[in-house]
Amino acid sequence: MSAPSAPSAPSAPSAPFWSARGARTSPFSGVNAVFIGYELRRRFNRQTTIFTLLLPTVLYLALFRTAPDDATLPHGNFAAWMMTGIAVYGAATAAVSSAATISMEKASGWMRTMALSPLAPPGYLFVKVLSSVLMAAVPVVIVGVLGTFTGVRATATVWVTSLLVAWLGSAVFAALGITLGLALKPDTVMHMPGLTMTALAFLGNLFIPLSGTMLEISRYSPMFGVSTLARYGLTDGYSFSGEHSSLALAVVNTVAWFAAFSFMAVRRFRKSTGRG
Amino acid sequence: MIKSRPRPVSEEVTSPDAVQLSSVVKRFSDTRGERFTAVDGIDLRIRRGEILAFLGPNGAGKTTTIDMLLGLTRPDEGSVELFGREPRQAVRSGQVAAVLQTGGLLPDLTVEATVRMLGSLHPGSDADAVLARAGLDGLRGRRVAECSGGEQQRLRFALALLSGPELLVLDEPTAGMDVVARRDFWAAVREDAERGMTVMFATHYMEEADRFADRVVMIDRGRVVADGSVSDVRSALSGRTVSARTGERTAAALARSPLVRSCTLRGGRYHFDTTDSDALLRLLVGQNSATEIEVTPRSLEEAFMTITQHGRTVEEGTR
Repeated sequence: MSAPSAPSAPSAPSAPFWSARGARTSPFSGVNAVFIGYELRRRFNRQTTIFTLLLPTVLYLALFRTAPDDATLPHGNFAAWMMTGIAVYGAATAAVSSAATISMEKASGWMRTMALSPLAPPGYLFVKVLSSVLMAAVPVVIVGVLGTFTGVRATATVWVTSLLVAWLGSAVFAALGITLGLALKPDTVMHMPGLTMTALAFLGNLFIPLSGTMLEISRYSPMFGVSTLARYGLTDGYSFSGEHSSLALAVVNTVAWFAAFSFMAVRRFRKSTGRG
Repeated sequence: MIKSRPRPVSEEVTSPDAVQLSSVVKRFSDTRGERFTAVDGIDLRIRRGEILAFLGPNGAGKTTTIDMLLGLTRPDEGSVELFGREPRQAVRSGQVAAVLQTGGLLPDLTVEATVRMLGSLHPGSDADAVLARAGLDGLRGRRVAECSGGEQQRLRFALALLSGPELLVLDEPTAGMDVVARRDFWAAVREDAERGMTVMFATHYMEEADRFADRVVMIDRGRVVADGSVSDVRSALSGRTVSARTGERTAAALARSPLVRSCTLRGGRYHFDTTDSDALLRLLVGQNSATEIEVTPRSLEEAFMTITQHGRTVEEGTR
């Protein structure tokens, strides 16, 4: 190993070649732009990116004309309703895809490397959530663009609020992605989050307008809160069959699931630094 | 083989030791729910600038001790201090760095990306210098998954250097390396150690302890069984093995002699571990039943076996 000489060292071991020990602890729990850059590069790998782009596109194009006969909405049309639903679904799927990278990090012992680094646990979780939320913007933008070309009609406020809520609501599923990533093995994690999201999307009233008992069950599912909030401007909270969902309950649903997933994520994370 | 290096050892009363483990105990429960004690009351003090080899057979508690030392697991009893601070603090600030046995790297990153990504967490670190010091300049663009075990180990070493640590902890750093890779690895570590860095390394290889450490601590079944300078431990362990084919009764009689420390039967031969091989030879030659007598200097490996077995039969005898 031919190693050229490194920074000159004062001889006393009590004052090693790195002088200001106190100044070395990095601010913001160690989070920095370079680290986030590498994290994003890992996250936006070809497979995940294609999946994130393609699925919402195909689903939207398949579903935006499937309006029930009596579909009327106070502030827009059915395409707008579907666009919002697919945006929520796309953002959630993109956000939960952190599970794949996290699962690999856990299997490879990267969590131990992180535990020995200046990146404090909140910093690690923050970077994961940030890259999830950035990734979630991609399908939201795509579905929004598709919407403009496929005859979505809605007021300007509805356009902005629905897509914005769909995007930010993905934080709930970013937390879920961390939980799944820490809980699952790398070989199962490839399919589980995608399947989970699709199931939750049907259950959460995203693809097919639900009514009656199904809608009642739906109210307690994790995607219902975000989708109801995202569509509130469009629907005033009414389903196509006339049932009303209150804004307050949608907020409670969102906050509760976010809290639940975050709690599980933090608990799993605390356990994950020890030896496998 | 023992090179005495002038090592500056801090005399200041105010500066705390690099490592201070006080009666540290760790218990685990196995899959059937039975409790067992992995580390059973270890006291260990490492002064600044020391190079300490941490030896022990598999399952002796080396990795568990290192995990507690680094704050990765909490001891059930006792306390750990690094430079007078809580382990996690010292580790997170980069004052203490570790090269762990396996894993810890992302297979999809390149060597350079790994160093730069972790380097970003240590403000002021120099990724290029560290890559060069670990001999990784030619491997910058290689993905970690495609690196050999030795190359990955050098990468772990590079990462440990990023913060310019005062204490470097290495957990069996050369396991799975070939002879050349091991030599190169230790050459790089030695270069850093000579700058005054404190080093603690766990190893299986006696030879590494012998060539590299100032002090040797042996543990077995979660307890310290020997602690001293390399030369102390060597002289305590010095001696030869005399082996011969002989009858059971003769062997038993010889084993009772004060010259013989232990006697084992392997492959039809009795092996006598002795402090005075010449005297034992005279005795043995006088026995007509003894044939094919051989005298061999004891390897450190054997010495190590003796010490740990001794610790097992005569509880804490060598403390």
